[in-house]
This record gives sequence, structure tokens and C-alpha cells, in this order.
Amino acid sequence: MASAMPWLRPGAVYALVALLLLWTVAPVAWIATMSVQPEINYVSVPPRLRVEQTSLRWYAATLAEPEFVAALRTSTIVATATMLLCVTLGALTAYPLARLNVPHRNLYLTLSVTARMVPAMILIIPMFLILRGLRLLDSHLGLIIVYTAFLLPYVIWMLKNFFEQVPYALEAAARMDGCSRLGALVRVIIPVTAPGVVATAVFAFIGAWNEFLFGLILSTRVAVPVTVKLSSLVSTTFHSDTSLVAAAGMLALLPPVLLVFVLNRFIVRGLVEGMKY
Amino acid sequence: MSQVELRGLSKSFGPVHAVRDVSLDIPDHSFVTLLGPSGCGKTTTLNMTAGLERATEGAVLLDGKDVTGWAPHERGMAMVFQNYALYPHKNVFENIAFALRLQRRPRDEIERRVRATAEALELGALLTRRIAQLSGGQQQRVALARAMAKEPQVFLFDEPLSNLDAGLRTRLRVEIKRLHQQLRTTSIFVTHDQEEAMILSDLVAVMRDGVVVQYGPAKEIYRRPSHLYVATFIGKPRMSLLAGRLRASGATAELVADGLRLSWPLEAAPPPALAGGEREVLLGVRAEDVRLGPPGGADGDSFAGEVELLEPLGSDTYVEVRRGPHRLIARVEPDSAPRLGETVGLRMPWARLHLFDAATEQRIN
Repeated sequence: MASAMPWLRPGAVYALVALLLLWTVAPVAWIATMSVQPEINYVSVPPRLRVEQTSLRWYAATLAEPEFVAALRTSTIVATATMLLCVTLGALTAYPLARLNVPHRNLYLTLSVTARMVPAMILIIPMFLILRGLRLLDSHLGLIIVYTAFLLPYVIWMLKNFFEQVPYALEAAARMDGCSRLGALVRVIIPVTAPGVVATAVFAFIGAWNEFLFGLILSTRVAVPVTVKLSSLVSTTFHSDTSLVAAAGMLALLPPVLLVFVLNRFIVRGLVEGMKY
Repeated sequence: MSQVELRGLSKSFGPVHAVRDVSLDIPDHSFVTLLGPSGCGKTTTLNMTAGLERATEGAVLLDGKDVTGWAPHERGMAMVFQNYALYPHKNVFENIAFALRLQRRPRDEIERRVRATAEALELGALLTRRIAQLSGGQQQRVALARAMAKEPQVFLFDEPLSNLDAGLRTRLRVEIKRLHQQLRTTSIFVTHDQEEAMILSDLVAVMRDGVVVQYGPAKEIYRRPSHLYVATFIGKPRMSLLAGRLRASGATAELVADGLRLSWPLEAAPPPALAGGEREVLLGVRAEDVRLGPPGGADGDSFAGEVELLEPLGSDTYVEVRRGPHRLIARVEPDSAPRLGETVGLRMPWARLHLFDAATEQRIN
């Protein structure tokens, strides 16, 4: 890049990266700041942040709210289950699409994404009716099924592309060594494409975690996801204190961020060492 | 130790016939090569033998048992692949041990067998390495070790040397030959390299367009190619060809080619195919069977030509001689090589000629 654009010195590159980072991180940093400061400090102009007034009491207060904790738990359960289900079903679907001579596989692949082109808003009434018929309204399982249905096509596409990159001979070697096709998938293809599979899993988790619309309509009391709870907190319980809302927001942010941090090391390891097939 | 029999194997991918009616008897302990250019169906034939691909028609027999429907690992075969196909997420030890672990062998047996195999292939010091840390040659030795550790009944090799550089290829070729002499395990080897095939094999099957053109001992494939295709595919340099009309009358055979008339005294009866009088033929002769001498020999089986190209290889020199539209290559001692542009006499003994029908390209003598 430096040679193609000589005016772009390494220093300038770092400055650009820093600017981009500021752009994405600043709002989060601001919420983080809000969550540990009294409201008066950051609503005044200019803001006057006081280190000696920094406190975690808003976090304590948020975590003392049973409904919010229940929502966190719901989202964790639903997102984790959706992620596992998406990767399992996705791998089992993507493998034959990538490897076997499945008739009409392009038609299937096209249909699966075309279905996703319909705006979610339009599907919400039929979804509601279906879940009501199944007696799955306001349940973890109901949300898991709906989220999986929505994320699975993307997961299949992503995994199919990763699986296609695995040389045929690697799978043939596994089958010669004693694996069934399923065994070769589990013991060789998935481990070899682990960085891609992990990235796909994270994608599914975040997709399920951040979902709002379906959670709002399909859940009322028992299985309210944290995104929905957050929005209701803004207007009800926490109306008096913005710091509480900020702390709740930070807590809602934590699980996906933690997941990415834990798995990112794994992804990076795969990338750094390189997948030499 | 086993005998493999392929019976009328065919494989179609939609309208494409990749392999057509391949039948081969592969004797116990033998080293058999499937030889042919890319796309001739040799790898597909190997994959069907391994069970990796289902045959559209035909059967694979192992020691007389029909194993056509068996899963790959049930056949007691091990395969070495062109791209090594090592498991990149496992280290060398685990690569070699993988099949044994799947067979649920006892821990100490796995340890013992992996170490013994690794020692035999000089991989002892590399057992804890990751695959990405190995060179191409080391990777292919690991692939060999992985196949050997299973102690298979049959080894299958799918162009295992093609991805290596020339020096390494020669060394590993020797190693494979040595291993086969030690283990005596029945082996099927796929390659497009005729030199590899000649050096390694007891028997060679030359394939083209999904069909076996000739199957026999390597020496016979070279000495008596049954088809023009085999004759020109095998041998370096390529067999020289003269197109012309051949007539056998009485005790002489006479070839009339473009601007050339050659005759040979026949010591034995002419081949039956020549009995019908004249015939359009392609006459083939290998470089080592062409004799160079001074020009102007009075005999009917010699003619003069001009030296157009010299290829000194050190041990031998190949001389390309031109006469009108005809080009022949002769092998000579480096010291007796003619000069470029020199006119030399060429002689081809009748007994060393390969005659092919111009239309069917089948051997007729």
C-alpha cells in the first residue's frame, strides 16, 4: 500500500486506523463511562467526569433487578442454543451441498437465501400464529426455533464455502483410515476449517443475541431477551437514572464480547499458523 | 498380502464415461502401475478400487471376495495421495496413528507401530512436529508412514511423487521401490510419468480415454507395444515413425515412403498381417535400435540423412537425422557422435522394427 500510495506513510496509516477505532469504540467507551459516573457529571456541559465519584453501584443495582437478570439468562440460553443448533444443522446441510452430488443443490441454496429476502416484519404475524399453535409463545424453545430458522441459511452458505476449500483427498484419506462420511466431517473437515466454523458460530450467536423484533412480539414475561428488556427498562423502572441504563447496556454487551475474546484467540491462531492442506 | 481383481469396471459421470470396462488381474506381491495422461481414468479406477468412488458397473475382488460394496476402510487398503492429504490439525505422530486409533488398538501397540514405521522412514525426530512445519519430501514420507502403519493388504498410490521436485522425486521413487521389495505388499500405483512406471513396476497398464490399451510386464510394454499409442507414449526419446506402404514378397519386405525406399531380407516368414500384399503402415523404431554409420551403404535397409540436432546427455547422445519429410532419432556413444549438418547413413534391423496398421494403429508384427 505504501508503495502504491507513497503519500501514505506508516504513520498516516496508524492515524487512520486510530481514527476508525475511535469511531467504533467511542460510543461504547462513552456508555462505559456513563455506567460508572453519576448522571449529573456527564449531562452537564461540558461534562465533568470525576474519578473519585467512579462507582460500580449502578451495576450492583442492575444485577439486583431479577427481571433484568432473567433476561440476561434468557438471551444467553437462547443465543447459545441457537448457535449450537445452527452450527450442527448447518454443518450437516453444508457438507452434502459442498461435497456430494446433490440434485438441484443450487436451487436449494438460492431458495434458502431468497426466503430471507422477505422483511421480518411481514413474517411476524404468521410466526406468532405458528408458535401459538405449537404453544411455544413466550418460551426459550420458541425463540430458539425462530432464530435458528432465520440464521440457518446464512450459516449454511458460510460453512459450505469453508468446506468446499478442504481438498477432496483429505476427506478421502480420512475415509481410507476408517472414518464414515460423518466421521470424516467431525474428525477432519470441521477441525481443519475450525477458524471458519468458529467465526460462523460467533456470527450466529451475535445474530441471536442482538435480535429484537421477534423477541418483542413472541415473548411477554417468561422468555424476554435482554434486548427487549433493555428497551423496556429505559421507559419504566430505570427512568430516573441514565447510569442504570448504561450499566444494563454494558452488561448486555458483555457476553458476546467475552465470546469473541475467548474465541478470537482461536481464530487468530488458525489464521497465523495458516491452514496448509 | 493379497490379490486384486478388477472385473469390467466402468464409471460414468452423467454422459461422460470416465472409465470403460477395465479388467485387470493384479497378482499377490506385485507392483502394478496404471499409466496414462491426465484425464485417462487412472485415478478414477484407483478410487473405485479403494471404494472412494462407486463403480457404475463391474466389480472389485480382493482375494476372490467381492468387495465392490464395501466401505473404503473395510478393504484393508491404504492410499498415498498426490497432495499428501495429511491432517493439518494433527502432528506427525497423530497423523500416523489416526487409523490405528480409529481401530481402537491398545495404546502401547499404537505407540510401538507408529515409532517403528517412523524409524523405517527416518521420521523419528519429527514425530511431534506439525504438518505445516515439514517440507514437501518430509510430508510425503509421513504420508507413506501413515499408509504403512496400517499394515494394509494393498497399497494404493495416486501420483504420490508429482508434487515433488526432480531430485526428491528420484529419491522417493527409490524409497518406494525399496519398501516394496521389503514388504512385498501388493501395490497399485497411478502415474503419468512413464519413467516412474518402468522403474517401479512389475506390470504396467497403459490407459487412454478410460480404457486399458495394453497390460503386461513393463519390459514387454516397452519391447512389444501392442498399439501405436503405447509405442509413442512409452520410451524416451519418443519412438521414431515412418509412414509408408509395406509389401512382403518372397524373402524380402519393402517399404515405400515419401522419397524413400527400403528393403529388408526376411529370415522368417513375414507376419501374417502382411500376407495380403501391400499395406499402409507406420513403422516405428526406437533410438537405441537405429545404427549410424558412414553414408552410402549398398544395403537396402539403410539410407542417408542429414544430422539436424544433437542432444548430448553425457552418457549418450541422441542424434536427430532428417531425410526429406522423415525424422529419425538414433542413440550413439558420445565419442562417436557425428557433427551437426553431417550426412550419415542410417540402418534399422528388421527384427527391431515395430509395425502398426496406419488405420487401426494396432501392432501387426
